[in-house]
Amino acid sequence: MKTVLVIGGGVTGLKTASELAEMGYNVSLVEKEDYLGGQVVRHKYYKLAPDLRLAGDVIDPVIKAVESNSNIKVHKHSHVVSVSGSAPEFKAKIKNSKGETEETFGAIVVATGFDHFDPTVKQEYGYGRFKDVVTNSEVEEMLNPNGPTKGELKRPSDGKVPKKIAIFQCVGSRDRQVGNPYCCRVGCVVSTKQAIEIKEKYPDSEVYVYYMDMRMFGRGWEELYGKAMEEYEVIFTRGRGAEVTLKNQQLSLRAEETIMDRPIQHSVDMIILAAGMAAGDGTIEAAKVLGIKQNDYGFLAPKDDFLSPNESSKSGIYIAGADKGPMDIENCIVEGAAVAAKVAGKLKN
Amino acid sequence: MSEETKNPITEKIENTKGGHFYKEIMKDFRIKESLHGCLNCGTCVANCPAAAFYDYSPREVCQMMIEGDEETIEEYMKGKIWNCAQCYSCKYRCPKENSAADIVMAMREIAVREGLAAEALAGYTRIAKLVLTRGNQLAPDMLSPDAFPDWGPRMIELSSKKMEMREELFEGFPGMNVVDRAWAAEDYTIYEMQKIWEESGALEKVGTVFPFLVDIVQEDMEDKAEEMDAKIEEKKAKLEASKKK
Ligand SMILES: Cc1cc2nc3c(=O)[nH]c(=O)nc-3n(C[C@H](O)[C@H](O)[C@H](O)COP(=O)(O)OP(=O)(O)OC[C@H]3O[C@@H](n4cnc5c(N)ncnc54)[C@H](O)[C@@H]3O)c2cc1C
Ligand code: SF4
Ligand code: SF4
Ligand code: SF4
Repeated sequence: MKTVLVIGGGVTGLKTASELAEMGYNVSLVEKEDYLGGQVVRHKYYKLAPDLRLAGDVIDPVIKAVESNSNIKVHKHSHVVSVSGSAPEFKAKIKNSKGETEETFGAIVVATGFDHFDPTVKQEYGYGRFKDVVTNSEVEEMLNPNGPTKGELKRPSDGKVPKKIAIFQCVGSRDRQVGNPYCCRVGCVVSTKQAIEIKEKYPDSEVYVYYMDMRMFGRGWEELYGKAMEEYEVIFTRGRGAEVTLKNQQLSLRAEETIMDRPIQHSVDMIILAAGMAAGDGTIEAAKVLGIKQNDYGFLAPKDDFLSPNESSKSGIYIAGADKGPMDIENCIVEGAAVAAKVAGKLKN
Repeated sequence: MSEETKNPITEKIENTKGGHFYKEIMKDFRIKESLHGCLNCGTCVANCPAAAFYDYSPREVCQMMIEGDEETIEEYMKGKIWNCAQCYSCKYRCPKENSAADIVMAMREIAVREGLAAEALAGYTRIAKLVLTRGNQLAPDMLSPDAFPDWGPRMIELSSKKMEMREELFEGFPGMNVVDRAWAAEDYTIYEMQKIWEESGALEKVGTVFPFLVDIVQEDMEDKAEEMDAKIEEKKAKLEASKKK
């Protein structure tokens, strides 16, 4: 029986590994960090959109399915440093702090995921300059009872709970100025979810979302959007957050209220940037080591988006999840299962 | 962006929509790099100093050029576009890399050429006259709070003390202790400048907006001509002599 190399231990890679193992294949899972679960675990996601169920309820069983399966060998804190050979016999060198080993694999699945866009380059938002301008992933950590603020939303500047909160959509997405014209595909639902979580916990707070379009195409997303407006009185203003300044120790934002055709300034206590998804360093590294094609933005390019969505440009090397482009968890799990089936079918012949 | 970049928006114009003004604007070399569709996001408006104080919107400028409605465009060329401060904030923030600033500049040039600008620029008569007859466009006594709604309290206070301040600042510099112009240029310099305008055709262009100013300048030049031409000859001779040395 051939062994499969899975690179990346996020939700996609975990699902791929456990599906293959259940079908009887041996799997080596290589994860560069010392934990499994990817971004969901790194940023301590608390509740997931759109159902507001605990992230742990989703990610823990996926991790457990991997850790409890004896067909899977997990290499944490490890990197694939070189690959030679071709399908169906690859030789890969796996390196960690203890040394290097070489193994032979019948197929390789790349599930290296994404990185959150770093908003420091959008200087006009003042991230890194103004303490109370934070990112959506930092808010995920705060809202988690096991996070740094024990579940409280706190202003980094003074530790106080903010009363007026503005959320800026599309930070680092739909933006030619930063070279990312694509849509992040999760920002809208994540912000809506965070707005609801904040209003639920602090009913007296005011939450304003500055957006261009609310892209609510997923299962239950539009309903969540309705709920935010109707039940939680979250205020959605159609206009992109344009600039943040500090006036008398208070954050002040500029935008245009594009429905009323007027420029506005708005004083708030905290600004959350809905930072989008960018191709991660880990994905770029994997593309280099394996010699597979990337698209214009660094994400991995399928051989054919319609007909072979999980095959890379190289035979025997497969791709899945958020390393192909922005994707939510539900779809990552589908991708993980799909790529496992594809690989299993291929290795059987 | 390279010069060869294709822009589907500007390429369509020749054979499709729009009237005369629309086509003239779209033909301008700057437009190709200034209009790539518009998200209607309002980033440009939020950062625009003109939009903060006047009935003007760079988003509208972009939308209008995409829609191509001739009447609206003509109206804009006669009025609203003259509010833009040409600060380029819109260009450096627009997520589609549009530049309302460049579109407006092209529209202004075409408005002048096509005779649409006279009314909008009437308020600038004093400035134009000052440039054409004295060689500087803004005089301290033109800077008053009622002409600048965007001034804060500090500017208003400073403006009320401008003569005293200039006296103090420019003690010993004759020509600077004035408020009816920024500084007093020499007659010779002004004459030379006027000559350049006349010969380059700029004066004729000014005439499409301020016809009477052309007469004023020409009279001014005639009055000085004899004296100034003699000076020019004198300078030329000096130059020749220095070359021979
Ligand atoms: C703020 C925020 C909130 C979100 N909330 C939700 C939500 O509520 N609901 C929802 O459905 N989705 C949500 N998402 C989307 C969700 O994060 C992704 O769908 C999911 O994390 C993608 O999983 P993945 O396994 O493809 O990638 P990742 O989670 O990025 O995992 C990739 C893994 O691969 C590892 N890796 C990378 N490169 C290498 C390498 N070269 N070698 C070895 N290992 C490597 C990484 O360390 C990481 O562990 C949210 C996204 C953001 C930005
Ligand atoms: S998902 Fe929403 S926040 Fe993200 S880029 Fe698209 S429209 Fe913007
Ligand atoms: S260049 Fe003109 S339109 Fe653009 S921001 Fe400045 S004033 Fe506004
Ligand atoms: S910033 Fe650009 S995309 Fe946004 S409204 Fe203005 S012109 Fe349109």
